[in-house]
Amino acid sequence: MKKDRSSLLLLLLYGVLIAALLILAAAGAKLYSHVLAARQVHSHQRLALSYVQSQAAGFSGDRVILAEGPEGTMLCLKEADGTFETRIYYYAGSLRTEFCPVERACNPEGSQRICDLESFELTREGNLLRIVTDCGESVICCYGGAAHE
Amino acid sequence: MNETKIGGRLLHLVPMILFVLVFVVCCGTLAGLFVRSADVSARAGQKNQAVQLCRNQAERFRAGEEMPGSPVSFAGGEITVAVSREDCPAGKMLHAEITAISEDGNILYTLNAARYVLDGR
Repeated sequence: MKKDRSSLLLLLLYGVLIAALLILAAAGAKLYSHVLAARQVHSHQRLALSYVQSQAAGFSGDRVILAEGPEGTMLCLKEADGTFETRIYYYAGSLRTEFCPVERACNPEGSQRICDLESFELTREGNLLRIVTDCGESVICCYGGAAHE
Repeated sequence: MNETKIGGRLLHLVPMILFVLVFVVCCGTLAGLFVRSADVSARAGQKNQAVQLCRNQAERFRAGEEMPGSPVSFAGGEITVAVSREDCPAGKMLHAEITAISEDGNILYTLNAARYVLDGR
């Protein structure tokens, strides 16, 4: 009878230990997935917003143009001679860029993918170019005012 | 005889008690690591947001927008902008120190921006 009781207690103790381990493992997994998701959001924010910010920073206002892209508004950064431009646009769930002659139509399939995004919107408010993505918002000062095609 | 029996049983329990103690210490360490990891992640997110907001404010300053006189709040802190002027021969140089401060008063990020304004503009 006494042996049965101690066996039961031992079993209970193991049960408690296993439950504690399971809770700890579940908490760790949840936290890890949360940290990964947050890291992905920050990484996309830095990639998308900073990429556009750094690209547009080197162009004066009259060479920063908003045009109609494959899915929404597209940012066109014209080279000084006006024959080539860097295009940044949203296509099939990702931010893409391509460098091509001004007169050539967009080729999303041949473009370079920057990062995956859920949304990407560009608007212009005077000298300020506003970028809104699912990861955050950013503004860029374009001297001379941004143009719109 | 009875005492020897109790002593023997206690001796039998020592490995078990040690095991439970080690287990509790390990669980505590792991839980502490998890809490610390969550805290670091939260602070990284806050800093990331602060940097982005400071950069946005600097771009607005460069574009000639009026800077807010009072601190601007964001999740986890506020952003202050201190603008100073420096007279130059043909105009003035405006300097802005944009600082993101957390709710507990720590400086998260500081960004300096400058803009040259010609006289008469």
